Amino acid sequence: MAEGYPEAEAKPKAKKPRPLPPPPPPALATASLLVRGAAARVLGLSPGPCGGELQPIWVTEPGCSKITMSFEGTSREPFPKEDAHNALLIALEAETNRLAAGGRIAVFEMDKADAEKKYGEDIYEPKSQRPDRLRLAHLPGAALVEIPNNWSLCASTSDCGKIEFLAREVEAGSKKKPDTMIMAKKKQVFVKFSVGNPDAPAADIGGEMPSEDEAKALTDKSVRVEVLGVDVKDEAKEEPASKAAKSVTEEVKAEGEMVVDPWSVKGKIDYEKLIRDFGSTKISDDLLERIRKITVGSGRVSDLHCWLRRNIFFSHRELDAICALQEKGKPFYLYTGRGPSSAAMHLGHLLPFMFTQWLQKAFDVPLVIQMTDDEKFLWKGEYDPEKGDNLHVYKRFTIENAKDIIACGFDKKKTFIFSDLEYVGHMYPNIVRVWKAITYNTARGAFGFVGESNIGQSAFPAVQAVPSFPSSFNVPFKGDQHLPCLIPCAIDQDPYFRVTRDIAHKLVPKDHPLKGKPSLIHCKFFPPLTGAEGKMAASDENSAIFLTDTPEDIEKKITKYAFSGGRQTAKEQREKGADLDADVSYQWLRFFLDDDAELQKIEEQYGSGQGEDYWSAGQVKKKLIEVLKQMVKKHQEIRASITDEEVAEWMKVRELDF
Amino acid sequence: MQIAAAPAHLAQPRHLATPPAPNAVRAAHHPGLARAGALSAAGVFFSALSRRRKLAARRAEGEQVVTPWEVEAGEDGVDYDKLIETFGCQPITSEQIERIERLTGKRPHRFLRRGLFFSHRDLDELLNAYEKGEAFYIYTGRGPSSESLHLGHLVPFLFTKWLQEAFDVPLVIELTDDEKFLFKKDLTIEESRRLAWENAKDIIACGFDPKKTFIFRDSDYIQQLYPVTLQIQKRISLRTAQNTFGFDPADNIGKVAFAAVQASPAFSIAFPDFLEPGRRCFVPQAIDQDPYFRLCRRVAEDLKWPKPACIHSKFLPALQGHQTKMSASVASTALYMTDTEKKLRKKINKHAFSGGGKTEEEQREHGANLDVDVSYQYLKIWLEDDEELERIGEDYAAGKLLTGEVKKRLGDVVSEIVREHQEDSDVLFFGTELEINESFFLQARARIEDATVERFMDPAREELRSSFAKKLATEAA
Repeated sequence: MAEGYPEAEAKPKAKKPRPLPPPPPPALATASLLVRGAAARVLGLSPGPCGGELQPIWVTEPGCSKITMSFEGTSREPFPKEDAHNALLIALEAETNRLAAGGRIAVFEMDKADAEKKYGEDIYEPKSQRPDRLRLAHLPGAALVEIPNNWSLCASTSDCGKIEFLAREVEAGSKKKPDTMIMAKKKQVFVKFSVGNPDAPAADIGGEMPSEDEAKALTDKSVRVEVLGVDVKDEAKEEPASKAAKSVTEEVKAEGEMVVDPWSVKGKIDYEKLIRDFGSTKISDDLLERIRKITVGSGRVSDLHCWLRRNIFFSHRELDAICALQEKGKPFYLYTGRGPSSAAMHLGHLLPFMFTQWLQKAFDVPLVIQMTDDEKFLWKGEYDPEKGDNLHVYKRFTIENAKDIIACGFDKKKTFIFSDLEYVGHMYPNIVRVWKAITYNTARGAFGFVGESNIGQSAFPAVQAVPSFPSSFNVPFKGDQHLPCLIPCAIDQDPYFRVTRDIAHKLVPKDHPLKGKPSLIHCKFFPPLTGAEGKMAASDENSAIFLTDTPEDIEKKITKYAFSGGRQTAKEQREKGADLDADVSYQWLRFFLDDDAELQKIEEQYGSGQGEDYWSAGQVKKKLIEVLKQMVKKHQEIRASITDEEVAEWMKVRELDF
Repeated sequence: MQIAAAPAHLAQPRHLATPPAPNAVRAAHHPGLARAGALSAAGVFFSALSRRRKLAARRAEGEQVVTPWEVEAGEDGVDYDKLIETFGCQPITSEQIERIERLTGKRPHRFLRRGLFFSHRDLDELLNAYEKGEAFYIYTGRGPSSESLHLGHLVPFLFTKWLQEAFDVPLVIELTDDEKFLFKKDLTIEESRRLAWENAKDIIACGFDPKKTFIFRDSDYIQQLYPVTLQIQKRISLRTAQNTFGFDPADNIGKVAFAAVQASPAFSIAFPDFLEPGRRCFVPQAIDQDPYFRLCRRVAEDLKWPKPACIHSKFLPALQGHQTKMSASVASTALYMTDTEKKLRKKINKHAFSGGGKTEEEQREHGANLDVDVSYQYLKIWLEDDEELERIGEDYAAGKLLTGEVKKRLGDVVSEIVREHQEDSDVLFFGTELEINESFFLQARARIEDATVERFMDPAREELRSSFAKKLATEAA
C-alpha cells in the first residue's frame, strides 16, 4: 500500500544505540506499534498493558519480526473460540495496514510523573523499566505507549510498506506451532510479520501530544473493529448499504481534524502534512524549471499553467522520471477520468480536464479519458419496477459529460474517450490480472469496503486501475507496451493509485521504463463556494457553479454564497484587510485568473484593505463574477456545437496519432 | 446423521453442469466420492482455509458435508434424500419423466430413467411453459483444464446434448478462462485462454450441433456479459458472498467478483444476438452446485427476470469404489476418453471395485452386492438396454454371473461409448474410418479445426438466429 519511496526530507537519525536489547530497524519498530494499536482495536485491549515484546529475528530474516502480546483483560468476553481465530488474525492484519495507511505518528518525551498524571499507567507495557524520562509514541486513534529510548521510527506509518502476517499455517502433521497465532490458553497473541519496505529510514519525529481525553479513549478496551465471521453475522443488523463506502471502523476523530481519503475530505487541509502522510513528493522549483524547459522551451505553450505556477498542483510521484524520459524525446500518455453521476457538471469537475488539456498541449502526448459509467451504476444505480435497472441513464450521462470534456479543447487526434460499459472487453485481461493481484484485505484497507458493499464495488478498483497500463489500449497505442502513464488527479485520489503502483510490475514487460507504475501529479482541493474547508460537492447546489448556470445564476451565487474573508465593516476592512485563506472569491481567482500581476494586485489590496480597485470583498467578487461569466459563456458556446455524432468519433476505438 | 451445508437463504451461483465423476484432482480429499468435473472443471472455488477447518470439524464427527467446494459423504455414502430436504429442492418424479417423454416424443435418457439426475428446481414451470410453446435455452459450462476428459466429464455434456436434441433448444456453453486464471497460481491469462480453446474442441467432439450451440470464453464475451454482470454484482453483498463462498480476506478480489460473471449467462439478455429477452434458462448441474444457483435465482427474483430452472445429478463413484480413498496422481483411477480400448479394459479389470464374492465359489453361493460393485454401477450409467441391465443385475446378485464377466461387458459398453461419440458427430466427421488401436476420441478430436471452434464461438452467426426463428415459427403455426 504505502510507497517504498525514498523521501528527500527523511534523514537517518543518528541515535546512540544501547547495548541491549538491540533496537529494531525503524520500519519494524513502526510496524510493531501498528500491530499493537490494531490488536487493541480488534481484540478490545489497552495497547500499553498488552505489551509488545519483539524477537530480533530480523538479524537472520531481514524485514521480519515477531511480536508477542497478551490479551489478558480483553473486553471480548467470552473470547472467540478457536475457529474464529483465523478471522481475528485476518482482521488484525487488515487493521494494521489500515492504520499504516493513515500515516500519522507522533513521538515526544515527558517526565515520568507528568506522563503518569496526564495519561495514567496504561502507557506502560508490563516489563517497562519506567525510567524518569519517558519517550512516548502516539498513533492517533490506536495507541499511546512508551517506547524504548534507543528506538527510532519512520516519518510516516506508511513508510514501512505493506505489513504481512507470516506463517499462519503449519504443514499438516507438523508438531510445530504456527508463528502467527492466538493461544487462548496462555492468553497470548503471536504475530510474525514482514514489512514491505524494511530499509525505510528513521526520522526525527515531533508531533503533538494527545489530550487526556484522547489518550483515555485509547485505553478503554472497546472493540473498535467488527470482524467478519465473528461480530458480523446477522445481515439485518448491519448498517445500510448507503454507508457502504465508509470505513468499517469506528471513526475516532476529533472535531475539525483533517480527514482525507477517496470518499471524504474534512477539516482544514494541511497539504505539507498530506505529502508526508501519503509519502508523495513536493513539486520543487527545480522540477518546475525542468517542466518549463520541456514545454515552454518547445514553444507549444507560452508559460507554465498558472496552477503549476501557483502550486495548486503541488505534489507528485515520479513526475521527474517522466521529465527525464521527455528530455530524451520519449513519449508518455495521460490518463484521467470522470464518473458520470449526473448530466450536470460543475466547475470543480472541469478542473482536472482543463489542466489535462494543458498537459496534452504542452507535452504533445496522447490522452485516454475513462468514463466510469459502471462505477456510478454500482454505487448509485436505481431500479425501476417498470423499466428495470437504469444502466442506460449512465450511458446517457457519459455522452453528456463527454461533451463538456471535449469542450475543454483537447486534441481529437490524440484523445480517446471511452466508457467502461463499451470498452470493458478490451480491458478485461488486464482487469482479471489486477483482480488476481489485489487481495480483499488490501482492497478493504485501501478502499474501505464493508460487508454491505456489493461485490461489484469491491471489484471496481481494478477497472479504474487498468487504464494505467498501456496494454489496455492496444489499438489506440498501436501495441506499444512500454508507454509510461501520467495521471493528474486531486490528492484524495492518491490511495487508489498507490495500490495500482504496488502491483504495476505484474502488468507490463520487465523493461517498462517506470516498471509500469503510473506517475501522478496531485492538485489541491477546489474549495466549495460556501467555505474554503473541504472540497466542492455536487450534492449541495449552492456550493457549486454549474456549467449550465446562466450569467445571472453566477452573479447571484457568488454574491450570495461565496464565503467572504473580508471584514464586517468597511472601516474594519480598511484597517485589517481580508483573511485571504478563508476568502473563497480570492481562492477561486487563484484558480481562474491567469494574469499574475492582476492576482497579485488583488492579493495585496484585498489582504491589506488598502488601494482602490480591490480593497473590498464586493470588488473582488465582482472581478470573480466577470471572470467566471466569461469562462462559462465560452464553455457553453463550444459545448453547444458538439453533437452526439461528434462524441461518437472521440469514443471510437481507433489508432491515436502520436 | 446431520447434513452440513450452506444455509438455505444464502444461495450461490457457480458451476454448472459438470457432475462429478471418478477421479478428481481433489479426489484425494474425498474418501468415497469423487467430483472431477465440478471441482477441476469449474475450479477450486473459494477454498478458504477457515472454511475447510470448519468442515474438517464436521467431517470428524461423521457428518455429511456437501457444498460447492466439498463433498463428504457420511459412512453410508451421500444421503440424497436428506440433501434434497436441506437444499430445499424437489425430487424428480416418474410423472415428470413421463411428461418429458410425452412433450419431446423421445424416450427419456437413461440418466433420467435410472435416477442419476434426481432432483430439480422449477422443472414443472419450465415444462408448463414449454407445453405452451415457450422455448427455453440450456446453459452449461466448463473451467479450462489441461486434464484429459474422462467418462465422468462426459455425463453433463451427453445429458445436455440429449436435452438439446429432445427439446430442440439453443445451448450456450461457458468456458471460464478468467476464473481458472484467478484461482490457479501460476497460470497466465494467455495460457488459460489457450486451454479453453483446446477444451472447446473436446466439447465439440461430443458432437454438438453447431447450428444450435454457442460456445464462448469469458475473456472474449465479457463485453456482452458485462451489463448483466454489473446488475448481478450490484445485488450481492460482500457479506453474502463471504458467507456463501467462504472466501478468505486473503483471497483475491476477482474470485468474488467472478461469481456474478458466472451467473450472467443464466439470463437470456446476455445473448441478444440470438435469444430474445426473458427466455427461460435451464441449467443441468451436479447437486453440489445448487447453493450457487440459489443465489442466482434470488438475484433473478430481485430483478424480476425468469429464474433459471435446474436439474441436479448425483455423484459418480470412483473406479475403486465408494469406500476407497483415491489419488489423483494415479491415472488408473479414471477411464479417460483418450484411452485406447485395450487400456480401458485393462483398467476396469484391474481397478474396478468388486462387490462379488472373493472366490468363484463364494460368488456362486452368495452372489454380488450390487450397491458397492462399481462395474454394475457403471453399467447402470452407460448401458442403454434396460432389459439387459436388469438381467445382469439379477444374475450377478444371484451368483449366476461372475465379476469377470460383468467387467467384460462393461469394457464392451465403455469402448462403445467412446466410439459412439465419433459416430454421433456426423456433422463434423462424416463418419470417417478410425484406427482401432488408437483412441477413438483423440482421432475424432484431431479432426476438429480451429475454424470449427471459431464457428462455435461466433455469437452473431446467422445459423444460430435462423434455426430458432424457424422453430418459433413452426410452433406458432
